[in-house]
Amino acid sequence: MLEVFKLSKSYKGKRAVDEINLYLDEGDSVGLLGPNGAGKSTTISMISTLIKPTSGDIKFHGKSTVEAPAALRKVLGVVPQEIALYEELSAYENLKFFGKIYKVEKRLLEERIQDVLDLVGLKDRQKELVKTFSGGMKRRVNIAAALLHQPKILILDEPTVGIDPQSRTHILEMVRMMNERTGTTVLYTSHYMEEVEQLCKRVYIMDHGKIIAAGTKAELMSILSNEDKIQIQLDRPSASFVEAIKGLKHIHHVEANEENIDFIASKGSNILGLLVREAEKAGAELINYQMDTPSLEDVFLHLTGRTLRD
Amino acid sequence: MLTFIFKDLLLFWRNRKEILTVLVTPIILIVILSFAFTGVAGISSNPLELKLAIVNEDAEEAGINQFIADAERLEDQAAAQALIAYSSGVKPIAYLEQYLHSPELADWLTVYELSESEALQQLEKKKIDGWIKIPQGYTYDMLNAIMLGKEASAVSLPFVVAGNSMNVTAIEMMISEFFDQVNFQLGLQHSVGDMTAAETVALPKGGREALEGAEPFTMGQYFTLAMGALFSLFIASTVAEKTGTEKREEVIKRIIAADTRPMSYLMGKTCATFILVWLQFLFVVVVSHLLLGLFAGKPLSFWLGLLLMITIYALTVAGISAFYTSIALRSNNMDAVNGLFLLFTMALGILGGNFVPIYLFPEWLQQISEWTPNGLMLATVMEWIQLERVLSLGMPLVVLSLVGILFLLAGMLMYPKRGEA
Repeated sequence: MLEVFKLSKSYKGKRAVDEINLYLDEGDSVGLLGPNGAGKSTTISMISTLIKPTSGDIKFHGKSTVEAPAALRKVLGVVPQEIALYEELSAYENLKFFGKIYKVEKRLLEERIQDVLDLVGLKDRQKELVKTFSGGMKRRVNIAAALLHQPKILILDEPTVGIDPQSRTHILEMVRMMNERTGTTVLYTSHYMEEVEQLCKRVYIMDHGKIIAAGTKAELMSILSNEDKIQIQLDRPSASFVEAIKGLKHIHHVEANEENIDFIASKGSNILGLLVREAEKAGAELINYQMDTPSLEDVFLHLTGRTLRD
Repeated sequence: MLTFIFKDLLLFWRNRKEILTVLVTPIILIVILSFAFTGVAGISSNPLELKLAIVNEDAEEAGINQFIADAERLEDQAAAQALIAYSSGVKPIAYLEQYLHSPELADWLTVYELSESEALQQLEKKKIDGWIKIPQGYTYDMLNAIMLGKEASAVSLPFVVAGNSMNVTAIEMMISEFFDQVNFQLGLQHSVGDMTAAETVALPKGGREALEGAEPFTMGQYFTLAMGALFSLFIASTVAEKTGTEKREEVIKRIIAADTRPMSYLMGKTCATFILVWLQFLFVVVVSHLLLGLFAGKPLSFWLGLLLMITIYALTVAGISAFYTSIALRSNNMDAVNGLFLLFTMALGILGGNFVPIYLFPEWLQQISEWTPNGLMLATVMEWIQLERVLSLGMPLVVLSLVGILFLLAGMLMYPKRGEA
C-alpha cells in the first residue's frame, strides 16, 4: 500500500534521515521505535507529505507521492506530536474547521464530529474551549481531528507524550480498536517501547537516522535468542561481587543498583553456580534469581549499546 | 476559503483583549488627542481664528510728502509732476490696513494696533499669533522702490512670531499674497503710465486659498480618521501574528496535510483582515460621531464617499496583511518579526500624520506623508470633508487600490512552498 524507498533528508549538510526503507500493508499496525533525535518525526513528516525528501521516494499504490501528494493526503490522517489545535476554539469548533478543510461532506460532518468525540470520550465537553482542557484531553481532540475524514492510513507521532496514564491507556485502546475493527492502517512512532509492543505487529527500530532493525516482534526478539536477561538480588549490596561478575565470560551489560543487579548472559551458560560461588567469596548470599523475557528495549540496547531513553 | 475566513474572524472575536484594543483605544485616543491639540500651536477646534497685531512706526503722510519733495527737485518737471500726482494716491499702509480689516477676513482675523513693547508682551502671553512691524520710513521707501526702482532697507515688513503653526502659516500666506498683488498692480500701472489708477488698486480677498464652498475640518474629525487608519494597520499585524501562533502550534501542518490549496489559507487571512478593518474603521467613525457630533449636518453623499474611502483603505490593509502573513510563515523567529511589524506600523503612523496633525509638519514631510497608505487616506478624506468633490477621490482611490494589489501580489509570491514554512 505505502512503500518508502531509500528515503533521506538532510539539513545543512547533516543527515537527519539516511536512506530508510519501510512499507505499510493495508490493515497493518506498524511501529517506528527510536530514541529522541533518531529521525522519527522527520520520517513521519516526509511520509505525511509535509516536507519534501532530499532523496528517495514514497509510493502509494505504486505512484510517487513526492511530487504529487494529493492522492495520499486524501486518505491520510496525521496526529502530530504537538497539539495542533486552536486553543481559543472549542473542541467542536476545532473539529468543524478541520472537517471542512478535509472536505467532509456537509451532511455527514455533524455526525462524524459526534462520532469521533464519542470515540475519544469528550462528547460532554465539546463546547468547552480547548485551552481549558488537560494535556490528555487535548491529545484526544488532537487524534479526533485526524479521524474526521475516516482515513485509511493513520499516522500518530508520539501521541502520548506528557499525558496522564488514564488518557494514555484510552488512546492506545482507541488506536488498537481502529486497527482491528475498521482495518485502519496504523503507523505509530514512539520512544516508549511498551506502547509499540502493545499496539504494533511489526516494528522498525530507528537510530541516528537509520533503520537498524525491522520485523515482527518475534523476529526482533530472536536477535536476542542467544541471550537471557537476568536479574538477581543479594542479601546486601556488594561492589566486589559486581566487579567479579563483570569479568565472567558469559556475562555482559551489568547494571547494579541498591536493590538489584541486572545483566545479559549467553543462553545456556548455566551461570547460577558461578553466581553463588562469587557471592560467597564476597561474603554475600544470593536471595533472588529471575530470568526476564527480552523486550524491544533489550533489542535496542543490544543493537546500539544505549537504552531508548538515553 | 470561507472556512478560513470564518475561523480567523472567530479567533479574533474570542480575543477580548484585542477587541478592546482596536475598538475602545482609538475612541479614547481621539478624545485625548483632539483636546490636546486644540489650542496648542495655534490650532483651534473651531475654524481658523487668527490674531495679528500691527506695530506702525511710520507716518504715511510724512513719507508721501517727503517723496513729493524729492520729486519736485527732479530736472524733468513733467515726469516729476506725474510722479507727484501718482504718489499722492499711493498709501501702502492704508492698503494693508484696509485689507486686514476687510469684511472677507473679519470672520477669522482680528487685528490689533499696538506698540512694539505691547506686541511683544501679547505674543509672549500667546494672546496673538504674531505682529507685523511697519518701520519708520516705510512709505517713503516703498514709493522710491515702486516709482524709481531704488533699493531701500525699510521696504520689507518684519513678521514676528513665537513659532511655526498653522495660524502663522496662514497669516504669512495672506500677507505675502497681499504684497504680491499690490506690488504687481502698482508696478504695472506705473509701467504703462496709468498714473490715475493708484487709488483703485484691487486688494486681494484674503490670504488663504479662497476655495468656493470649502469647509474647514476639526481636530476631532482629523483624529477620528487618523486613529481609524492607524488601528487598521495594527489589525494587519495582529492577523500575521496569529499566523506565527498557528505555525508554532503546528496547526499549519494539519492544514497542509489536509491538502488545502495554499492560496486558500493566505486569501482567508486577507479577506478576514478586510472585514475586520472595515468593521473597525466604521465603528470608530460612527461611535466618535455619536459621542462628539463630529460630522453633524453632513449629507448622505458625504457618508457614501467616506464609506468608499474606508472600503478601499480596508482593501489596501488587507493586501499588507497578506504580505505580513507570508513573512511570518517564512520566519524562524516570530518575536523579531512581530517587532518589525510593530516598528513598520509605528513608522507609517508617524509619517502618515496619525499621531500629530500633518499640517504642523514642514511641506516636504507633508509630501512624504502622502506616500504612505494611511497618510494618503487621511489627506484624501480631509479634502473630502472640506470640499466633497467626487473627482478628488479618483486618483487616491486608484493609488490605494494599486498599493493593496502590490502588497497582495508580494505576499502571494513570497508564500512558502511545501517544507519552506
